[in-house]
Amino acid sequence: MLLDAEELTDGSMLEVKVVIAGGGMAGLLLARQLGDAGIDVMVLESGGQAQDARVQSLYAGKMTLGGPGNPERTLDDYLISSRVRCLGGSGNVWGGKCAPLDPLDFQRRDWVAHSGWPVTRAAMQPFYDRACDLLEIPRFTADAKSMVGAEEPVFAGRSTRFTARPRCYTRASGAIDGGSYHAYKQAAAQHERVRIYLKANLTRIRLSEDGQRVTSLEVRCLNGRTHRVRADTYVMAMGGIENARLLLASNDVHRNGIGNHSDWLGRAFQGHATIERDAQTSLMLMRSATSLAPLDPTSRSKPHIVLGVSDAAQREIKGVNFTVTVTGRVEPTRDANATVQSLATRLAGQAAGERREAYFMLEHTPNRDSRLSLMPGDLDELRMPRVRLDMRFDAAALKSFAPTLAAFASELGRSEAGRVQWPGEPADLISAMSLSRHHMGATRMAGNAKDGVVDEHCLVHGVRNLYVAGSSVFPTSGIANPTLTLLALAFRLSDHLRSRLRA
Amino acid sequence: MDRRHLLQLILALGTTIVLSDTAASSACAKSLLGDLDAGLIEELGREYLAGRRDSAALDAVVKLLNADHALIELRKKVQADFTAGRLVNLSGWFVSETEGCVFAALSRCDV
Repeated sequence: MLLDAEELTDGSMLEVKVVIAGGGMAGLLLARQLGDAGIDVMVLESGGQAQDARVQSLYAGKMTLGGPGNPERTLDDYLISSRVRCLGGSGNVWGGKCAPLDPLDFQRRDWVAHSGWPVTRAAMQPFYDRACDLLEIPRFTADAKSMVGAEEPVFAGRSTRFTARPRCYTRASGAIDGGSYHAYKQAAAQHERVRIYLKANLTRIRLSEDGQRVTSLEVRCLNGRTHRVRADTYVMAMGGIENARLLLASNDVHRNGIGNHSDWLGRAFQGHATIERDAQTSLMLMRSATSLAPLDPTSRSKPHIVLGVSDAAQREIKGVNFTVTVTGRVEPTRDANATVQSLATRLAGQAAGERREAYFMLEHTPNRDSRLSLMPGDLDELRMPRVRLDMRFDAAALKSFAPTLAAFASELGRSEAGRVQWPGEPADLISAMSLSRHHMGATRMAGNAKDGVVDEHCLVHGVRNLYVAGSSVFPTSGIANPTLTLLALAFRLSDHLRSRLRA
Repeated sequence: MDRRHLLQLILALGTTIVLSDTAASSACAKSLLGDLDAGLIEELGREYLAGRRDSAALDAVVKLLNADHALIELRKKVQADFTAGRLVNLSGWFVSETEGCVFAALSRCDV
């Protein structure tokens, strides 16, 4: 049921078994799942059914992007443009690309500080499968060939350092198929056990005096009315930035914010960035154009392949996750590019190569200096402190780019598969980045309170009835688009809550 | 790089200059050159030379260009370079050391 919080009598007290703050992809899935188990659920959604500039402006803040040896960039607009504050959340503009995190992404890597999840990929697999079924896409298997239906064509199994990583698209994405995504939202909105309050902004999480239990939520509407919500169980599902913002701002019992036992709240913020420079990032592939079809990311109807650095190569280089995505064909030219390509193909005794545009992605590893914080003197219309995001890549990750790319170039050349073009210097990496709308890590999951904010069940350490859903719990973020993983985690959380609430 | 600096570099690679004259006219060189633009080869050759001071690799390639089965040997050498990580970046492209030497040997900039 869809309801309007602005129409409630001022000062209303609402009660329910489970309240979920945030009506995006994770929140709505969780609501449906709990509703299916006969549990009454309330969803608090800040926006209405469509985007609204006044509501979006609640996201405004300050942002910089940087890394050692690179000029800092100011990207304030990113905080508004990279997310959507209305029913369906950022799913309304999501392009639908799906991929699971790699097994190594879940593991502790000695050479990557703060790496590792308290959950393995094997333990996540059943939940990934359920997320794939929900999105009506093939399940991801260890064997990329069986999923894609063709061998990876560049190395064709001749490289142990680079491997095929499948990706595919769902129709249930707002940017591609509004009808399918509308159905996704309606599945929660029409559920008999689910009440969704629109225009209901969570502004404070109230704790018991001992700080170990949430007692209620404060809700504020843009028409000035305020309400309270009381529940047995509380779930924050407001997105990778707002989850941390609310926990930081609710500081009347725990002065550093809720779950901030070890100063991790807001830290280790991670994003995904594509790295490319106009007309200067490409591959020359000594393969026929038809054989390269499995690499085509524009074919939405079937899975495609990106080329990823193998686990063995990450260990060897002491590097981080890295992928190469091959995109459009580059028309033949008569310049230095063509001359380099011609010599390479002639030396290899091959016919002319196929030049393709490409982009790289480099894992944003957990970095305590990559941080979300509040600006207490700068309040939004609801009197909530605005956020400051200083997104930082650490030196080790940036430093691993060059040897990883060199390894890729070596593998291409050694196997007579082609050549790679990238003219950038290490100091150009940050300026060559285009950020995706992926916000991860600011309420990171860890087995104990010393290393993170939530436990392996997404329960905030030290608080008995407060959970966090969404990509903010990712301790590491690999390179995979986060939606499939956050949906898998929502399935996992719903199973946990069903079991706990039944008990 | 201006012409004066280029000449200084060429002088430093004196052995190569003599050999490159014959290398550039060898059968292998002609098959590699094909219809490629001589000006672009020269640019790439200069770029390679500008970043390198050790002439040993270049000498070896020049000799190969004059040898029997030159293409087969060059192909092996390219693969060996990539296997060993001997890469150079020319105009943004990661190529083998041997390819860089081929451009330098074939270029007109050193005659």
